[in-house]
Amino acid sequence: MPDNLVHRLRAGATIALAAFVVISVLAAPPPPEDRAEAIGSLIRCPVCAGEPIADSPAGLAEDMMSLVREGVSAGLTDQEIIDSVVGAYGADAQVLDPPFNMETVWLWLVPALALVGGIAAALSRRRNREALGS
Amino acid sequence: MIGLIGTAAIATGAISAVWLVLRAVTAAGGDEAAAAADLGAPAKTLLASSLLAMGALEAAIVFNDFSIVYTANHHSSTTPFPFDLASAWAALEGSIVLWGMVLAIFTWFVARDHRANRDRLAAGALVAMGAVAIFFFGVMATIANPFETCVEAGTRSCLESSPVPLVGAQGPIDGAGPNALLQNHLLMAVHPPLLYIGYVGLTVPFAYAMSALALGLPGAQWLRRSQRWTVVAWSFLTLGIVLGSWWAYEVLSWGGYWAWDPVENASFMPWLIATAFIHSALVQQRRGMLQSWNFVLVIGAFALTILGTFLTRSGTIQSVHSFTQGPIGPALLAFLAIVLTAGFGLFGMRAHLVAQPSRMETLSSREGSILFNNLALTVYATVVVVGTLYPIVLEAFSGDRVQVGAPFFNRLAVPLSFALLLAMGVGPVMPWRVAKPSLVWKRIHGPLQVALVLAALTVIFVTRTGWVVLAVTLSAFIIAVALRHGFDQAHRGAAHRSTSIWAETRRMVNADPGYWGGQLSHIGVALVALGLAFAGNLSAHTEITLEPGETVSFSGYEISYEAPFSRSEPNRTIIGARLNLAVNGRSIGTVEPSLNEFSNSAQLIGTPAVFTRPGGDIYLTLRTIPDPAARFTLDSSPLMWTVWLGGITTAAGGFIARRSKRQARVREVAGA
Repeated sequence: MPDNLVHRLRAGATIALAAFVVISVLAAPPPPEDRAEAIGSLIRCPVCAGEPIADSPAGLAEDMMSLVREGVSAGLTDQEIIDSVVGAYGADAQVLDPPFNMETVWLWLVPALALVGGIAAALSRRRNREALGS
Repeated sequence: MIGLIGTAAIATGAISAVWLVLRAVTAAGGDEAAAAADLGAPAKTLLASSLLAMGALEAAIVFNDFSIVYTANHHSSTTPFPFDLASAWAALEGSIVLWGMVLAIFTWFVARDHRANRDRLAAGALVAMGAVAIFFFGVMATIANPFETCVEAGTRSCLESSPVPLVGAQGPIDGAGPNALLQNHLLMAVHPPLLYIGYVGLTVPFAYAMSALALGLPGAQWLRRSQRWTVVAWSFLTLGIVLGSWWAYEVLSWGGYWAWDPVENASFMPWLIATAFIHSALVQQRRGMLQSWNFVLVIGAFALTILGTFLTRSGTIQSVHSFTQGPIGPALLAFLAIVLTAGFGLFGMRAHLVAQPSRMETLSSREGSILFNNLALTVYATVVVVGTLYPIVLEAFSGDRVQVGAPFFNRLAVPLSFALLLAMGVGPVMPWRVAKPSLVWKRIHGPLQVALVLAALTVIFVTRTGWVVLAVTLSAFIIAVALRHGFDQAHRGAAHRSTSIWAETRRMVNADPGYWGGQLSHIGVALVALGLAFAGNLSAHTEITLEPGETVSFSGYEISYEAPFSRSEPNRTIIGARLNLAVNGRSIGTVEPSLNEFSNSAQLIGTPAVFTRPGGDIYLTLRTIPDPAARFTLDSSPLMWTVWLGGITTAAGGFIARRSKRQARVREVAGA
């Protein structure tokens, strides 16, 4: 009986700890967001291939970042700022996060199909056996 | 002269690869007596000629023979050691020579396995190894010949060349030297060979799989015979990826280490599938399941190494890594098509021979957890492959350009990584067949409490950022589960045999290096995850301009700009700034971020200063240094060092697991 009690106390302590951690994280105030950095990390630096303008040391990227900062202080929305930067710097200043449209649909669909197909294959391995009656 | 030797070596290599294939086909296709034929001679000739080719290329570099085009264009007499030696693989032609040499070494190991076993399986594997060697030595002999002779020299490079050795040879007085980025850090000299050993090593399990399918010998024999090389290749690939990203961190001056750049992805894709393969191979060896799946994975892993080489070496993708362009692209693409057609074609033709034996009893078991691991890793690899290829394919077919960058990859990779971490913690302590929840709970309850206590401490003292807390919890959980399991077993063994716990630990690891090496790798991955979560979420970044004597506070450091400096080296001029770092008024060190001017590069290449303390790195980059004020970028990367430590630990686990003796003790569960 005492053994059982120890068990329950330990399990209770684990649950209490987990609850404390989860609640603290969920109740945490959102971190002070640097909007310019967040937007800058979505725009590709045209001269450095693959790097966002927020990270790039290139002069052009710095110019583009200052345009983003101007947009932020002018109170524009994220999309308006992105559009203004892409508008000013042309087709090479593309958004690193691909939009969801007909052209990019497979980008999302292929991983999703792999996941669904994989789960189905994994489950069928087990079902067949149950059907055989073991 | 060197060119002549090199050309002859490559020709001999190509001929011996053909010779090997012809001999091995006879051996594999015949009866037992035929299979026992000696295949050592062609394998040794291949090895010798590949070593000679590599040696000739190094000699051309060391002796500054600029009449060879490769030396003229990628080496300079001022290139210092060891970057001169590394020039041998800094560009396309040389990297193929390195590839060929590593392939010849692995082929020689397979030939040794054939000598030990004298069977058709090994002979068949040699056919596949030889066929791959024909392709690479053929490429060397034709479209990517590293020993072409220069027949018209420019000032610092070659303008016109001829494949015929020595004819009208002339060379520039000095060569162009390697890409400036490649001669700025020692890691760049070692990272490519490690990566290549990893890439090329995956040819071995592929060759055994092809042999098993072609000869109708499925079962676990091919897995057992190639297992050691799969794990060795995986370990080198791990090390190559980690050192590559360390190089990016130390050299590229943006404080980052992983950008989901296509060339980084190129090495990561086969790593993911090879990792899945190592795990699912265990399931087949222990339980006889997943036999077809293992063929799919091993063909996929090998094909991805070729795809990766294509992405890296064809110049298809403009990226910071794509230093080369040439006719190699179509050749690699054609080879990839052949590999996929031959691999999956053979698999399709022989699928009926692959046994479909025992079914899984429950997902709550070791094999169930590995199934979960394989699902997550395969989807992960799919995300990376699709994300990397999508822009290329879309542009090729519609002409439209779309960028698939870090935001896309992170959105999908982060949840998948956490799913894998969870499986990594629970899976290894689940028994095979059926894992009773009560037993699993008993094994994980203590570690779970340890992890939650650390998570609570993180919440109280460090941060309440969700991803970081989750990473702390899962990493601590994985490490605690592994250590507790190891300690428990060693402790019990020590009591049972009255030995010391250290002697018992050694005995335990020697008895099952596969399992404990794997656990060490898991600990390594947990450390990587911890470091990535901290550095990725809790970093700080600022830009400042300082005059000598000025001090600034950043992330708990007082940073004072002392003075500018400059010095000359044979291949570069270094202009830098000396800064003092202090914490609470106490000086802790001096750092010297700098800008390097290479004679062959118009662009200044930065060398950031990285100062590491237990809490993490402070990363200083010099931007411009006009007199008197200098402009700096400051980054702090908390716990960055755990990423490097974890990566090396992960590879070390693989090297221990390489000695796996488990296969000797376990009977083949179900096989042909």
